[in-house]
Amino acid sequence: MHKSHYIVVERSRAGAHRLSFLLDPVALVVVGFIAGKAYYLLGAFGTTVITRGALKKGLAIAGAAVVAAFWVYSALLYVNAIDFPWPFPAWYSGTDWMLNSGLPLGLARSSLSDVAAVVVFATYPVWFYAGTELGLAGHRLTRGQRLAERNRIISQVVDTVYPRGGAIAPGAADVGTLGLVDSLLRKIPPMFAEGLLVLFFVFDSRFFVLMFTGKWKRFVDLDDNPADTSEKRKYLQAWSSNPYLASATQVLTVAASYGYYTRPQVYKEIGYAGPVCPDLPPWYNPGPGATVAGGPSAIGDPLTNRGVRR
Amino acid sequence: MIVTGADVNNSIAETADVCVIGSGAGGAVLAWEMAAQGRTVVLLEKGGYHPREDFNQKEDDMIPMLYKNAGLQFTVPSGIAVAQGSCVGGSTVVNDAVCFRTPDAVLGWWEDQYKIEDIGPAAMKKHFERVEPRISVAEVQPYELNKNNLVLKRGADKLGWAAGPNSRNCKTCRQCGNCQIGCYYGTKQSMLETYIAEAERDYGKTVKIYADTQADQLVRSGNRITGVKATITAAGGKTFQLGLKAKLFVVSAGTIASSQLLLESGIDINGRVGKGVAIHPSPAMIGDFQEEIHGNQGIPMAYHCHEFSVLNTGKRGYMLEAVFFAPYQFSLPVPGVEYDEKELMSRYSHYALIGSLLQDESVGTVIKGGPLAYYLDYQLTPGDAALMVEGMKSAARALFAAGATKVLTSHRRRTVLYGENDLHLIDDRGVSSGISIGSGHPQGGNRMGGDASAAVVDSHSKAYGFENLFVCDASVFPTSIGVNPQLTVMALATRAAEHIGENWSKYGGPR
Repeated sequence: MHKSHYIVVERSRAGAHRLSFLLDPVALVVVGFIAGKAYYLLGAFGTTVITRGALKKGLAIAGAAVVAAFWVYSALLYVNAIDFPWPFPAWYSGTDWMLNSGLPLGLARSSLSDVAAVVVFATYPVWFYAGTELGLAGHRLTRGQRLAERNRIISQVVDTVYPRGGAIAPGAADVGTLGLVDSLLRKIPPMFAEGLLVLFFVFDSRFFVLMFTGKWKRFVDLDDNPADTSEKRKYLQAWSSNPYLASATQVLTVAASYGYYTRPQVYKEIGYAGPVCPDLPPWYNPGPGATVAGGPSAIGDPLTNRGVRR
Repeated sequence: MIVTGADVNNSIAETADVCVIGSGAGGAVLAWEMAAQGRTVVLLEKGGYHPREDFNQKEDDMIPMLYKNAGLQFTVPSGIAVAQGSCVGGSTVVNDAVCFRTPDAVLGWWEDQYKIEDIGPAAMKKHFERVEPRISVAEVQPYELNKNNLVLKRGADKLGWAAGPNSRNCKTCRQCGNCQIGCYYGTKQSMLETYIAEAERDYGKTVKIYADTQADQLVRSGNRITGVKATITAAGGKTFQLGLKAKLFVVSAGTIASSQLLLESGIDINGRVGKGVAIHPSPAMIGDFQEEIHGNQGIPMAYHCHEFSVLNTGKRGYMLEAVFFAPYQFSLPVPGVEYDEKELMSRYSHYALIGSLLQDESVGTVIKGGPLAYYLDYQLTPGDAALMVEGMKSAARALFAAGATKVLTSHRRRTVLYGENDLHLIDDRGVSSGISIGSGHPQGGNRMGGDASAAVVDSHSKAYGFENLFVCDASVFPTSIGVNPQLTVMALATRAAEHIGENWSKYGGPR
């Protein structure tokens, strides 16, 4: 075991430039970043919308667990109690990995490196915390800024779903779709509105755009040419066809439909008469031999509650 | 007396003989019946009070005003849209006024398999007969069928399938086509126009209705409920507390909200509260005709085909129902985005729509979580999925038989059938995902049953383990019923009220 182990180390030192010795701090920042994002973004779909206090508590617990895991694993590596399995199935000795990280640095363990290791270990919580701060950075906007950002996303969604032209001439921008969607979202329960806000940010996030399109961009930044919405459309369709995102996509597209198909300009294009009240509908058929006169007031229904309201 | 949030500027303490939570098909009937028995009643309704003067036939105004969560309520993870009314009168204000008695076969299952007493067709007859004249149930006349309904009739006739006009709770319907966004003319005999209005008229001094008031928690003392804590949302979003003490409590807030209230109150009878929910998932099939159909002009839902329904077969199945919507609601099952959806929607006036109402298995669960505090976890079972595919194919066959040049499914990936040879496309696409499905009939969750260790409420809607707590809405259905449920809910409420009246000293204490 020992013999083969050192052979592997020699081979590795000779040819490969792999991860840096500073992997742990970088890894902690990355994990912290993901934790920060996840706690905020996914929190809305958990037991409740996560409050600021619960968010901090959850992050603290997650951070303690992650840092403790890094401490234990890295310390065991450093004292050479375990080997580092990289690249699989070859192995580095734990100490060699911690000091040289696969680079031809030639460092060996000494009393000075022991002190340095303790100092580096002591900084681990800081790296995790820095990562969470980065992850949460986008969500420290004021409420007004967040709503403005949400509306920027909605604007792009509705313009993608209902562009100008085609069989129904007006586009979302021509009929005030954004304003109507905004008003709809102001009429839903506050907790739900907060959850939808998070949903829009998730939808717009680079992570999901990367996952579905391979591009490291926000949704609103897709398509270089404003007249072309093909990338945005492709992304929207990817969400729509993903079974795990079906409910979320439904909310987005239903809200867009609400803001578009309730517009009188659209009614005209599709042959919908729109509201007819207070008159009777022109197509009303009172039955064989019956006539209609006097409009709705002629209904004469004794079981109405007109005038009941105080 | 109706009190809205706008009338309130301080916290309130109330007492009554009976507290009813929810003013839909169950709660409104219970409230009137209890008042008729001489009880004082306080009725709490989370939604607003909107008499028909407030209705304007505009979807953008009416849907946020009358629907729960402004119409944005979906099952998780399946994304099925579940529409529920949230206003005084509940879903009866926004439904299509369709009235079916509970199918005999279903009542038979409830009696035999769930050991429910006095629930057979003969026992239920008197309760239906008490409700039906009160809400003016009558069969749709031939001259009232618009072209959309006639498409289903023509298709079913050609195929030799059992079909017929619906019965509706409507008086001199003006056929405006806007049943789903409130009846401006007041001809739909919803709870708003009947039981609520009559409670106001006949028992104005003993019935008090609080609108804009959400029941947050039932207060329990041993095996009795002693009070309810509620929140009134006043003008400007300001909230006030309502504390109510009563002798007897009836939870009638609908499948999701009733389960939510019980669970929030720490009441999970037999571990079954919120479990066993069905929704009647109903995919839409859209037939494109050369002629103009104008399906929105006339009664939206006036004809049905029950060839494959429990009504005809005595087995779980699906019912085909002609239905139509104003453009926004109609657009929801239309596939695609961008120009292709526009192209499809531009044919709106040429479309006929048949919904296939699936009598599904009761597998959904109301779960605490998510941005709405509670959500409905629901997925089609393999058996449901297979039945739904059959239902969609039957709807397509009816549309083709009636002369449709093509049929659109509600799959999000555009799926167009040009004839019966294309029916296999529905099998190919499947229905487990990638399809827009609607539902307006959540039911179950607080199952009624004769087995005190397996159900939530007993044969007369009383919660097991409690002396004075009743649940009376569609949430008590032990199985899905396969037909539009409002009449069943009203009849069960009438039945529960009769039972409570006969046993008042037992449940409510001495007068």
